[in-house]
Amino acid sequence: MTIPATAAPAQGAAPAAAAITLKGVSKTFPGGMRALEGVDLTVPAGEFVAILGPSGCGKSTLLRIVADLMEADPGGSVEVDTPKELGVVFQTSNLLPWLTVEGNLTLGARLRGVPKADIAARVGPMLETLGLESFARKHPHELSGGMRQRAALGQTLICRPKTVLLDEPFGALDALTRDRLNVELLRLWQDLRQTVLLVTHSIPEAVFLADRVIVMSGRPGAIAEDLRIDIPRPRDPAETRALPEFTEAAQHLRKLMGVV
Amino acid sequence: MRRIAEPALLAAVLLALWEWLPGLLGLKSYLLPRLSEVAAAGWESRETMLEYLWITTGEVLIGFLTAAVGGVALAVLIYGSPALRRTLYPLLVGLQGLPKVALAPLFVVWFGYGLGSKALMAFLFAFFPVAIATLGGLAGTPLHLEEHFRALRASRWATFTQLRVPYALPAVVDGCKVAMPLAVIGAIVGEFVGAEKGLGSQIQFAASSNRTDLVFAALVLISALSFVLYGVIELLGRLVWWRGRSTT
Ligand SMILES: Nc1ncnc2c1ncn2[C@@H]1O[C@H](COP(=O)(O)OP(=O)(O)O)[C@@H](O)[C@H]1O
Ligand SMILES: [Mg+2]
Repeated sequence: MTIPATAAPAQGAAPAAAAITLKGVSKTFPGGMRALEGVDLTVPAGEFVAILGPSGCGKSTLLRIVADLMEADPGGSVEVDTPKELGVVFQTSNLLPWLTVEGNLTLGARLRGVPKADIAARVGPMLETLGLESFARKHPHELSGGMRQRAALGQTLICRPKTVLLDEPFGALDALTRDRLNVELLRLWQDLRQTVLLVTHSIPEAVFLADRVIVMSGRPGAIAEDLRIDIPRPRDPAETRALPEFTEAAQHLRKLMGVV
Repeated sequence: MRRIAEPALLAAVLLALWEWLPGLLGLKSYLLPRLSEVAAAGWESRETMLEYLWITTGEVLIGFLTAAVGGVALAVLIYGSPALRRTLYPLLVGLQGLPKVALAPLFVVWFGYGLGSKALMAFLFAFFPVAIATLGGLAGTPLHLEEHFRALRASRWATFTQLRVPYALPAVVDGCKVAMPLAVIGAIVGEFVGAEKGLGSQIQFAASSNRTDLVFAALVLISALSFVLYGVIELLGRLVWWRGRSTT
């Protein structure tokens, strides 16, 4: 991540605490493959942003750049206000097969040096939140795909990150499990209100969860649409999908993405 | 039950063939002694045989254990240091091509007829498989997990001890499984070239005095030794139960 010496404070007038600020972010892979082209994006703290886009348009690349797992091309700037309190959940759950669910859940916190007593205090409630209480001593291979993704989510959330990056966290799951986990994710977020960047290729998922949906165009990825979703919160899983705002936004996005 | 019964049955059939076939084919006893003759000869010199078995076992274990520890350590060093990977690794691969048997006489000259030169041969035979397997295991950590650890802001040390090492353990076990019988071979080769005691030296003495029965008795003990030691590794290897478990 490049944090220019003349960061926000010097320039004053920074709008209400931006959690993530991307300016002119491009990414060219060795070999000339251009994945991102001049991405500008500002995410205020506490906002839930969904990113939609065709496969291969650079969504994961964008997340990696925000998470400081990859360098953007020189020229642009990437600013994250709390880079140390940032968590990522990938499409694959990435649980370690030799650790129990509890061991996996606490791995991130242990690696980050969260005090043992704090971790111990957080595990129980987190297991409960995720509905994994009776699986604490099981190993990942004894879990269903949905449970593994929940454990992966817990591994990140137990560190209490201020910013959470989710890269198609439920993408590999069946539609039913996926819907259920979306509802759980929404419930969690409505309590915690972290800044969230969620990559997905499901339009209903994006509209249901997000304050804002960013649509990216195909290669090289650039922002094609920035749509605000004005559905009031807390959103009820059953009713939200029937609201006219929901249908309208979903329809608009479908058109944009060339689905209809 | 079948896991024991079936191989035991096969072994029994083969042993029966060993007992009856030489007679049926009219083979001279000094060419291929029957099982009962081998057993009798072995029993007769049981005290020497057991002493020699003990000596050879010691050579094998010392050679194998130092090879296992040294092989893992060297692999870790090579993995952790690009400089060593550039310099030491090609050298290691080159040296692996050396006919180790040809070094045995040198070792006798350098370290004498005792335990040292045999343990060193066992070490030499067992070292490369462990080092290469460990190196492969360490390098085989899936990239998505490496990235996950970076996302968790894990230190280099934590990534090594909590991700790469557990991931490499199944490969280390495999390397040890290859290395253990090789350590036995190494010790026997060492004894062939120069030793006063040990199962390998017994084979030499017995063969030179046409005691084929004692040669076979020693061979049986050597394969039994190899079998048992391999079994120990196999059992220890079960502690690394996560082999092949998916993490996605
Ligand atoms: N490490 C890499 N090296 C080279 N090309 C890459 C790498 N990672 C991704 N790409 C390419 O960049 C483009 C965007 O990839 P990605 O960000 O994974 O897309 P998305 O997540 O939107 O499906 C793809 O064409 C992909 O092939
Ligand atoms: Mg992706």
